[in-house]
Amino acid sequence: MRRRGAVLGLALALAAGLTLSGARLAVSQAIAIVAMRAPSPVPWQEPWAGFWGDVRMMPLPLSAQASVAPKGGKRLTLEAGAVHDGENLFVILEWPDASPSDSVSRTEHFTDAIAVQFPSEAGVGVPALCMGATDAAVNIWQWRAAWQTELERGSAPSILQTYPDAVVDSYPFEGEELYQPGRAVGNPFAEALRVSAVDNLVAGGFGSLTADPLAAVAGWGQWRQGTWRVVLTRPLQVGREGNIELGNGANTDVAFAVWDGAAQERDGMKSVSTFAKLEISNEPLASGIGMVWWLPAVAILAALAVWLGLRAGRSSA
Amino acid sequence: MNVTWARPMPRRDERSPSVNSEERWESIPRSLLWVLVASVATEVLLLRTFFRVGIFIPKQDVFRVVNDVLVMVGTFAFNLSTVLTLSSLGWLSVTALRSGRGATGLAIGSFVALSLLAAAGAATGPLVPPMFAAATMLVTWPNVRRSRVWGVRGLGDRGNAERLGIGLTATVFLLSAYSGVASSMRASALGSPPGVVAAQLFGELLIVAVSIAFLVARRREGPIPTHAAILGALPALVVASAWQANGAIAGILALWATGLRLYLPVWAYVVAVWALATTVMARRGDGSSRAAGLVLLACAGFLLESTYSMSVALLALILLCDLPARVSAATVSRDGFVQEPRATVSTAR
Repeated sequence: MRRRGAVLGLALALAAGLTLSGARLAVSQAIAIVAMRAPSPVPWQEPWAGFWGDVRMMPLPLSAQASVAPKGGKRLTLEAGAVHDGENLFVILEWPDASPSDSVSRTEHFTDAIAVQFPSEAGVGVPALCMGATDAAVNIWQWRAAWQTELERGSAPSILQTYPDAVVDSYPFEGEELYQPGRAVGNPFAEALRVSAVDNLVAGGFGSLTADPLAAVAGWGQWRQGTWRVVLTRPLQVGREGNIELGNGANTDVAFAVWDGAAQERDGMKSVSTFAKLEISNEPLASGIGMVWWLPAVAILAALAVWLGLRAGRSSA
Repeated sequence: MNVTWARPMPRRDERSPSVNSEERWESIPRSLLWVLVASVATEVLLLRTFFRVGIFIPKQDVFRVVNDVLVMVGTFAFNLSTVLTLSSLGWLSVTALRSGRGATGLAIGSFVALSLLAAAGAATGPLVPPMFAAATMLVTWPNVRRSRVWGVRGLGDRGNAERLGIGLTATVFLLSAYSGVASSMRASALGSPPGVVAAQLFGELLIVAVSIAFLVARRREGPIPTHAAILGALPALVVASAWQANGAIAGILALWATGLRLYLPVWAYVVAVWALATTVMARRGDGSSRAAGLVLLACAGFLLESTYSMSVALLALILLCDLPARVSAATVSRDGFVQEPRATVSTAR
């Protein structure tokens, strides 16, 4: 009885010491996306180029956003990888989507989209996943398929493009900004001519999401056989408040969100990941290595199983 | 003059409870075991569930204080369970080494040592999952094989359902370890082995079967008490109600706390929870540590992505095998056969 008490007391004291000191006796396999150094130029406008086959992709489970209304989304697996060329970061993302949705010209149309969220200050701490907090802002890059379509076309869709059979006598003051208040106040949804398919956003809690126009944040996506691939890019350093600064050796948290336009997902109706780690490494991106390393491992395990079987057989005999 | 002889090994259900409990006490003190179970369960509730939910919520005013207190309690529970789990494994390693199961004792001890070194910052992290897999195989192998050779009974000579449960549990652990190693390889230059998602899905399927197998094993030993079946239905009802009320949140919480994707029909998980909880209730007070092993198995979760969850899982497996009692009750040879307990009687005065 005394020994039991002593052991328990010692364990409690040790646990209290660990709790107060912040030390841990356990570690976990961190989900880390390692951005290795790639030779320039990086084909970021060709997400399906062979170059991206050398980038190590990390599978991340996404689940429905169920914390804040409007809730929605689904469970799916997103593959994420990253490289850098010393000046720019490139994040490649791949996820399944049965059909591409790249228009918001009709009321009932919603676009496919993906967002990457960083703490505004790298490595300081993990902010609240939902738009950060007042003392822990987040920087979000959101790519929208519809924005890319407008960028490719060179303009937002006109009424006649969306509704070819519509008949309009005339729109008075059509060219005057005064009568297009959304565009006049800089609402990003009302932009006539987009410069990027990616919105750069900053937030410090619910309801504080703010567009921070930064043309340097760019991205390009391509849908192929039920899968979206999108590459997002931005200079590692932009020197702008609220925007994450990254450099060689940087280590930060990163989270992802996916919207499926065909399922009418928008706003908070999205699939979200928890935070993973992003490391900027100076190691060069290796090509053509691996994919077969596990064969020797399987062979060793098989040999071990055979050895155990033979040993058991000898014992039985 | 010393006389040594062998006496028949009593059947498992014929062993004297007093002897068993005494032997088991030498392995893991029961009171410490239940403190460990309570601390692991607290960690699951306060860190894996509450803290992860809290990540989504900006914290202000009173909620910040409540959050901080609960997270600190959860952190303390985590540290306590880590200390007790690693200590228990260390002790079981010594017990196994003393009883002649050198390979098993060495594997468990190496796993503990590598885990502690990894936590201290040494680059031993990648070695932990393979050592966990090795310890899992060595603990499991003698307990799943059927053998009775030359009148010597193997540890595997137990009911088919129990052997199946233990074997499936070990398979789930191996699949999870493979999936973890394979996932971590993706970020390296070594390339990724195939079948990560398939391993996860198959492992999740096996978990449901594990619960059923252990319930069947318990049923083979005798009728399931009615109160156990009723009490076991409570957590199953909670799962079913949570899914009915909000499937999205229930699914996310299950994923965070246990690593389960819940891709199978929900009723399968409800049945599995009922089977597991019923077996725990039926096994309470039966003189074995298997009830504690089942609770730890549930708390370890499926995706063993930390040295902590691997430790809890390995300890759960050892308790499910009831290994300490068996090892203590009889000397076990290196290949897992039970040597008849030998009594040495001195007739010299």
